[in-house]
Amino acid sequence: MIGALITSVMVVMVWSWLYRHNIFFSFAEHTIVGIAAGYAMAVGIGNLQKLAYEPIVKGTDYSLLFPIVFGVLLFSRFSRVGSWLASYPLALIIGTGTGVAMRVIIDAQVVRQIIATIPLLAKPVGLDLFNGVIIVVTLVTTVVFFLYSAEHKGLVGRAARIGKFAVFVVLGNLYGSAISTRIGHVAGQMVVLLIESAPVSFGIVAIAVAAILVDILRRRSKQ
Amino acid sequence: MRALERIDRRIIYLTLIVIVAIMTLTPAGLPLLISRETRLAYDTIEKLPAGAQILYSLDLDIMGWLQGGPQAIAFLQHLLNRPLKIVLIGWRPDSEFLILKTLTSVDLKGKKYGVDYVNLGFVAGGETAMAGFAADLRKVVRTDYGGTNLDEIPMMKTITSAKDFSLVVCPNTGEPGALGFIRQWRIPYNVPIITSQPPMTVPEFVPHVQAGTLVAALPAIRSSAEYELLIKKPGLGIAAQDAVSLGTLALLAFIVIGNIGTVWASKSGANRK
Amino acid sequence: MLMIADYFLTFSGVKALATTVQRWVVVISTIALALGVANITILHGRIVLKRRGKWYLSLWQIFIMWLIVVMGSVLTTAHPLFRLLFDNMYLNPYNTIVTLLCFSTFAAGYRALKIRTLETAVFFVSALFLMLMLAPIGEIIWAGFPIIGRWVADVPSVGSMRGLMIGAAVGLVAVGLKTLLGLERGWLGRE
Repeated sequence: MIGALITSVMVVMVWSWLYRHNIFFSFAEHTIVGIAAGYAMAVGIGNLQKLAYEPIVKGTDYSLLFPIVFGVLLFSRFSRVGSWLASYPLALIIGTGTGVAMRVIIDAQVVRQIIATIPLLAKPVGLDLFNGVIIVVTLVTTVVFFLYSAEHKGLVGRAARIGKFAVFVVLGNLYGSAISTRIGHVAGQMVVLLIESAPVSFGIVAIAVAAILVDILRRRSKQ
Repeated sequence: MRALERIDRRIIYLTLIVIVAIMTLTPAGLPLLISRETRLAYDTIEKLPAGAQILYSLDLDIMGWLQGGPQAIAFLQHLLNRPLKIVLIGWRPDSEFLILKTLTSVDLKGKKYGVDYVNLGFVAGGETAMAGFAADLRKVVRTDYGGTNLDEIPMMKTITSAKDFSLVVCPNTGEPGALGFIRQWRIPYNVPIITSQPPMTVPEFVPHVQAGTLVAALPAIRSSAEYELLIKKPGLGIAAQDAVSLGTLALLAFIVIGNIGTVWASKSGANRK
Repeated sequence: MLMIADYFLTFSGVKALATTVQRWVVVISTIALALGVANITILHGRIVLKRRGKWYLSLWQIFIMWLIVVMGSVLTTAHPLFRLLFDNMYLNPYNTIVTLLCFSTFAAGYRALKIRTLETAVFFVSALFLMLMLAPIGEIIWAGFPIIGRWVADVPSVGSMRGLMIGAAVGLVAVGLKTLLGLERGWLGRE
C-alpha cells in the first residue's frame, strides 16, 4: 500500500511535465538523480569489501593496496592543485579498456562480417542469391558513401548515392524499432500505475487531473 | 485543414496516454505469432543437456528494466524449468538489484541455492572484468553476492573459466552487454550467446547472428510476449502488446495527418501566389 | 598494449600480469562509482550554501543520496526497507522519465517527418514495415507486413549495418591506437 502510494505519486509527478515543467517534476528529478548516485556508491562499497578489503585484512593479497591507492587518486580531480594526479588511474582504466576492446574488434566487427558476406554470392540462383547480392551491394555502397578520401563523382558518386539510400533504410529500421521500444515503455509504466499500484493510483491520477484542469481554467481566466 | 499542421503537442501526448491506458485496462487480446528468432532461442535452451552450466548475465540498467525485464524474467524462468546449473551475474551497478528483483519474480521450481543456481551479483570493470572472468573467474570474483567464498559453494567447484559454460544468456541494454560477450567469450572461447536487446539496437546485432557470433538477438518487448507464450507463463510482455499495437497506429495516423496538413498548407500558399 | 599482447601471445608471464592488471582495474572502477556522489555533494552543496535558485531541491537531493548510501551499506541492497525506497522512489519514476522520450518522439514524428523527398520516403517506408512487424496488429492488418518487414530487417538493413559496423570498427581502432600512443588526449580533459 505504501509502495503503491509512493510509486503513484512519483509517476504522476514525472508525467506532470507533459502538461508543463513544474516544481513537482523537479522534485522527482532531484530524487531520482540522488538515489542513482547513492545506489552506485552503496553497491561499490559492498563490492570493494569483498574484492579488496577482505583479501588485504586476511593477508592473502597485499598487492590490492596499489589499486586502492590509485582509485583514491581519482578524487584528486576535485582539487585545483592536485587534479593532475587523477590522470594516472584514469589512464590505467582507459588503456586497459581500450586494449581489451581493440584486440578482438577487427575479428568480430570486420573479418567475421566479411567472412559471413562473401559466401552469400555463392548461393544457387534464387531468392538466397538475390538477397546475398542486395546485402553485398548495400554493404559496399554504404562503405563508399562514408569514403571521404575520394570525390563522389562518376562511378563512386553513383555508388555513394545507392549507399545513401541504404543508410536511410537502416535509419528507418532504427526509427521503427525505437518507436516500438518507446511505446512499450509507456505501456509498461501504465501497467505499473493502473494495475500494480491500483486502487491508490486512481485517486492520485484523479487529483492530478483535477489540478491540471484548475490550472488551465485559471490561466484562461487570466487571459 | 491548416489546423492539421498545428496540433498542440499536449493533444498528441493526451491521445497516446488515453490509448495506452484503455488498452492496458481492457486488453483486446490480439493474436501473436512466434518469430523465428524467439523459437531459435527457446529451442537452444530446450536442447541443452541436463547439468549444463549456463551464465545468466543480467546487463540491464534501471531504464532498460521496463522493456528488458519481462524478457529477463522469461529467460530465467525457462532456465529454471530445465535441469541446468545457472550462474547469475551482472556488469552494471543496477544489475545487483535487478538480479534480486528477477529472482523474486520467478518460480524457483524447488531449485536449491548453491547447488542449482548461484548469484554472483555485480562485478565492476565492464568488458575488462568480463575478459578476466572468462580467463579465470576467481581472479575477478571471490565470493557470491552474499559473501560466501566460491570454493564453499558446491556448484562452483567445477567452474573456473568460460570454457566450463555451455551458453551465455544475456538480457542487456548496452555496454558491455552482448558486444562484450562476443568479443571476450564467443571469439576466444566459442561460448554460444543468446541476447535480448532494446528493439532499436537489434538491427546492429542481426549481422552478428548471420555471421554466427550470436545464436539469437531478440527485440525485448515483442519477444518477451512470445517467450511468455512458449513457456506458458503470461506476464508483462503479453500485457503490453495491445498498447504497442494501438500506439503504433496512432503514431502513423499523426504522421499522415501532419503530412496532409503540410501538403494542404503548401498548396494553399501556391494558390494564393 | 599489455591486453593486446595477452590476447596474441602465450607467455605465462604476460598472461599473469594481464590478469593482475585486469583485477586492479576492477578495483579502481569500483572506487570510481563514488565519484558521482562526490561530484553531486560538491556541486549541490555550493548551491545550498549560497542559497541559489531552488536550493531546497539540492538539499533534498544530497539528503536522499546519502540516506541511500548509508542504508545500502548498512542494511544491504536486499533489505526490504531499501527495496521499498529504491523500487518506488527510483526504479518506477526513472522508467517514467524514460517514457517522456516516447512522447517527444511522437510529437517529433508528427512535426518533423514530412515526406518531401525520395530519401525521406525510403526512411518512412522502412520504418513503417518495421513498426508493423513488431506490433501484433501488423500481421492482422496484412500478412505481408511481418514478411516484408523481416526482409527489410534481414537483407538491405543488414548489408548497410555491416558497412557501418566495418567503418565504425576501423574508426575505433584508429582512435584506440591514437589513445594508446598518447596522440588522443581528450579523455584527460585536454585537446
